[in-house]
Amino acid sequence: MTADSTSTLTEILVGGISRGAMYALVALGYTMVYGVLGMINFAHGEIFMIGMFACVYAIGAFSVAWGDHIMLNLTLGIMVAMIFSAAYGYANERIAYRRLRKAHVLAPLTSAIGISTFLQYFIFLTVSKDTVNFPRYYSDYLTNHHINLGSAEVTYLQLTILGLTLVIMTGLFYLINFTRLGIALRATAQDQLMASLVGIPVNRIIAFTFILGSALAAIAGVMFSMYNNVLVFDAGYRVGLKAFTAAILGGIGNIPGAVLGAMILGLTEALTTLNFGSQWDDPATFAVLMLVLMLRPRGLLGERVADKV
Amino acid sequence: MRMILRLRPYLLGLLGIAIITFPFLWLQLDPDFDNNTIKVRWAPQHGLQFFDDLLPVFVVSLLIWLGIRANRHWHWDQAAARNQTWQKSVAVWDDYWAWVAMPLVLCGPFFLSATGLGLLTNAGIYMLLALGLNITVGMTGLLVLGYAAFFAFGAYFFALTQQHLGYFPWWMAAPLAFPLGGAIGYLLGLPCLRLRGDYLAIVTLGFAEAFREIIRNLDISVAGGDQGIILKASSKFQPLWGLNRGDMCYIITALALFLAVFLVQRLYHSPVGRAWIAIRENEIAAEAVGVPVVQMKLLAFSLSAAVAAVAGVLYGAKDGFVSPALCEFNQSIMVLAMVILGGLGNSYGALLGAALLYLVPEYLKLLPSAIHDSPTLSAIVPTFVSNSLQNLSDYRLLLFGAVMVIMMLYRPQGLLGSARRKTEMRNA
Amino acid sequence: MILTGVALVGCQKASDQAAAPAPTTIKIGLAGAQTGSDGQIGLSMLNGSQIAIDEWNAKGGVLGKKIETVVLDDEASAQKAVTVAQSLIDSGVVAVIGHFNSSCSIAASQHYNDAKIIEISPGSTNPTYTDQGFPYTFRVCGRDDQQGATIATFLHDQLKLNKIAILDDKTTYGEGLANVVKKSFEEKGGTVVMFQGIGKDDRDFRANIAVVKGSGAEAFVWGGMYGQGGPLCVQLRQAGLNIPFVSDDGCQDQAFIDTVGGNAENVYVSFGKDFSTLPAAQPFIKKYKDTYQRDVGSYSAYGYDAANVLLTAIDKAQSTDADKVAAVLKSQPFDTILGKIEFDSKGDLKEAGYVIWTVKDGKLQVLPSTP
Repeated sequence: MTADSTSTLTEILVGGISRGAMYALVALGYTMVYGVLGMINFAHGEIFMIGMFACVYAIGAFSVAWGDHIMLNLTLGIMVAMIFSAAYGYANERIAYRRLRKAHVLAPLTSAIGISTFLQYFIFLTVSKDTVNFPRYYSDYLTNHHINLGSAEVTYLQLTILGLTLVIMTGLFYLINFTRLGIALRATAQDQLMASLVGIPVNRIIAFTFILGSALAAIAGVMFSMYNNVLVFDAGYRVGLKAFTAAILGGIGNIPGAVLGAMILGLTEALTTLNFGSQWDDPATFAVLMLVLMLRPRGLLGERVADKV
Repeated sequence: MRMILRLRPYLLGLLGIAIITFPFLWLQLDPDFDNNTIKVRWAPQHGLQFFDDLLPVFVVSLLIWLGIRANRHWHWDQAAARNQTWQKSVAVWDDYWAWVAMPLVLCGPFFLSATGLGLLTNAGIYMLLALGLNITVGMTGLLVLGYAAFFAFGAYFFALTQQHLGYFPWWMAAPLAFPLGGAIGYLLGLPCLRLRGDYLAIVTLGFAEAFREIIRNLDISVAGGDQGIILKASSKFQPLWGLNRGDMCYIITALALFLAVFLVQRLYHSPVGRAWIAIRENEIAAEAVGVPVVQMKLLAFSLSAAVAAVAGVLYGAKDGFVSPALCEFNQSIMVLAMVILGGLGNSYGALLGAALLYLVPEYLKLLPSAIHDSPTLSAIVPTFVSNSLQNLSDYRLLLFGAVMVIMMLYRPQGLLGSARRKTEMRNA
Repeated sequence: MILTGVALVGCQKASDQAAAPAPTTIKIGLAGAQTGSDGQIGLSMLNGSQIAIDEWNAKGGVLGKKIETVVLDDEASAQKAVTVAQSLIDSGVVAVIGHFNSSCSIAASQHYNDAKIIEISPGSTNPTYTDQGFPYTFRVCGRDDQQGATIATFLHDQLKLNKIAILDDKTTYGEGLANVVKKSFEEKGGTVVMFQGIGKDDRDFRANIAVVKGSGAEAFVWGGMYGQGGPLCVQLRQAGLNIPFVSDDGCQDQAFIDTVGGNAENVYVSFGKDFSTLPAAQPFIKKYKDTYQRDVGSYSAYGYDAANVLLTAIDKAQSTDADKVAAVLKSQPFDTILGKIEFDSKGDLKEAGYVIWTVKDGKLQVLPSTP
């Protein structure tokens, strides 16, 4: 009996961490844009959703072009998804943010909400009003093979998700703290005018932030659709909401903070399911958020946002 | 040549959009269920259908654009502004319009159809909500993303009390909902209003989601579950003085709206209102000159929560039915869009935004059947237009998103932006 | 000024309305979800009703008058359904066929009842709908307690299982069904080892499945629609659980088969009789395909039946008065393409005829051994 319950607990924890890892990939995009611009990128959840669909379209096109090669099509599919999401992220920045950068903070936020609604219903109207199945031929290998962790099973897909998140987080952390690009990014976050005076191409840096965040969201999107086996036009809303909560939990603008917050959220949801049932997911998330905001108002690892005076 | 150079960024932008939307518009997914793989197929009729359905929208936007261009060329608006008689009559109208508008609105039941009245009553509830949200978002500059939660709170407060107390009509619930809604707003605002403004947005959003889930998770006998609660007839609006129930709903909503407009306008022009605006313009400067920033923010937030709670009671009494769907994210975003579209910080703007965003889609939905029913209209309007209109109702949220973006780009202060707001938007 | 403008808009509408009522027609309302994720299934139901009404009109209408339909979309939202109900009542319909979603039918029913309008739902299975005691509410499909009992009997008596896990989508429909399955299964002496709900847009069921795995359940019951049921079943199999997966009429859809695979084993769905093989239904199926260029949906035949039953009753009562029509509906059996049906005093079918279906050869087929 005890062996049984430990294996349940381990499986729940693994599931929670995998879910947290996908939230983390999306949360990184939120936190980077917030860190640089001091604004919520409300359309980020939809960029994540676009990534899912772009990948499936790409896989379909490659399958027509040269047949079903799992590794090749999947890798290329993820790349196409990243390119498409990045393009949508860039378009989002150009349309909804760039011209409104100097306006009141509500203006870009509203236009981003507009973009988000537009994209959601664009996919709803043009692609499918219903769920679309992820082609399981490509994900079967990852989902059906597993390693044993004690008595619990961890699928290759879960390992992939975890590995990717860790690698990306480390890479980002390095990029921001130890490269010239990172210095430019941080300078832009501190003060755009000063940054431009010392020769930093502010516009390009901000666009780069959006593109990078969107490409990460695309990876999360592909993983998410493989993990859940379906794609649907409104998938971005819920994940976006959770990821944004995660970014705030960890301290907005803080890269390790976003990952930590996302993991905490994933585990909270998993443990709530074990103890109270999955219907209490959202209230539990909200309780954690309120608790953190009351005890550590600047997030678990502290904000990294320049206070604009 | 110069024309092309001037248009180059637009052409490039269009090309970019065409490329990134290409697969979704012109290709179709073709799942192969036997092998669990997927293929794509070239399906141009798919994209053509999309543009065909949007045809009426393109025509209308072209007309609007032409109107704006023409105005830029001939300056009609300035001609009107220079016309002395027109200005005088506007000034007179400004002083007395309320005395004309109020009786006119209240007489609605005598010249409106029941459907029209029902839609206007719903619009009235949305106006009340937009008015309330405008206090926080427009006047104080705080973002609230889960405003519908307070609306649902009011509705559920009413539904639950009338269920457990037996007789508990709306006129007892509404005055109670006001302080209770305010208290909830205060409690929610307390931990996050000390922090940066965006936290309020996410906390209210989380509150709305959690509130909905809790209502749905509680036992059906406690809070009605997902189905919601059907109210007893005794607690709803009652027919009175020969007016039927629909008329009463309309009149009571209208009266509540007048009262709310009056109160909010008084507050806006009082020291409290000026403190809110000071906070919106520059929080640090406001604090420096002695405005109690946190208290003022809390006051604004709880006041708007209270207005929403009262609107919730009225809604419950009108429809006789409340459900957790009342606090869905879409509702909150809709009200926010009404405030922003109408004009941040301007109460009348909020009313206009609410009326437009609620009524236009509803009438668009009724338009095809109206065309079909009326022999003259169906003779004039070609069939392909009415077919497009039929399909258009699927597109209304898409258009809603597009309108929000375009508004922000070309008129960030909203349709009736306050003059103060306009200068701020320009100089900030 | 704004308010005046708004009032004028409304006024405009009033004149439209005034032109509308023509004394030579009988108006029937068709209400249901036409957009959103339940849009397809709702639309196929309303299309079925439309075919029936067109057939009656071709025969000369009813009571010597042509039948006119007023079709409105409730977007599967109960709040919208109330608005739709008011619009239908205002436009002077004598009866309404709809709505599709249980929550919408229940929310709208009080308004139809107040206005003395017959409401026949082809697809709302939640018991509350007719249990409210309204004299004018009917349905031509079964009830969830009948359906839930069928599922519980199947699991307990036919598969001989004692421990089941239940998950639902927390909607009126899914949760209502889950509650009934739990109750009837426990009455039979079985135990329900997991009883949980999940958000309607959640599609990661790993945590629930881990709980099921640890609890030793012998079958998994899903109360909800195919949009979540499909991925749930797939994830269950991926986790190595090959226990029977039982679901409800919300999963009776080709999209469900497409997700779980054409030769999925141990997948069962409860639904009404199979009409695709009934000889009486063949003309309808063909006509539907000719008119709408697509196959019938699972609720099209119910929509067709609802319209036929309603119009027959109006014809027999020789009146559109709701009391008289309701009396006719409750007093005699009707021939439909799904067989003979009869209403009880609440407006439910006397015999619901739920059977268990299973996946076979890429299609859902009635399980041969179902009693």
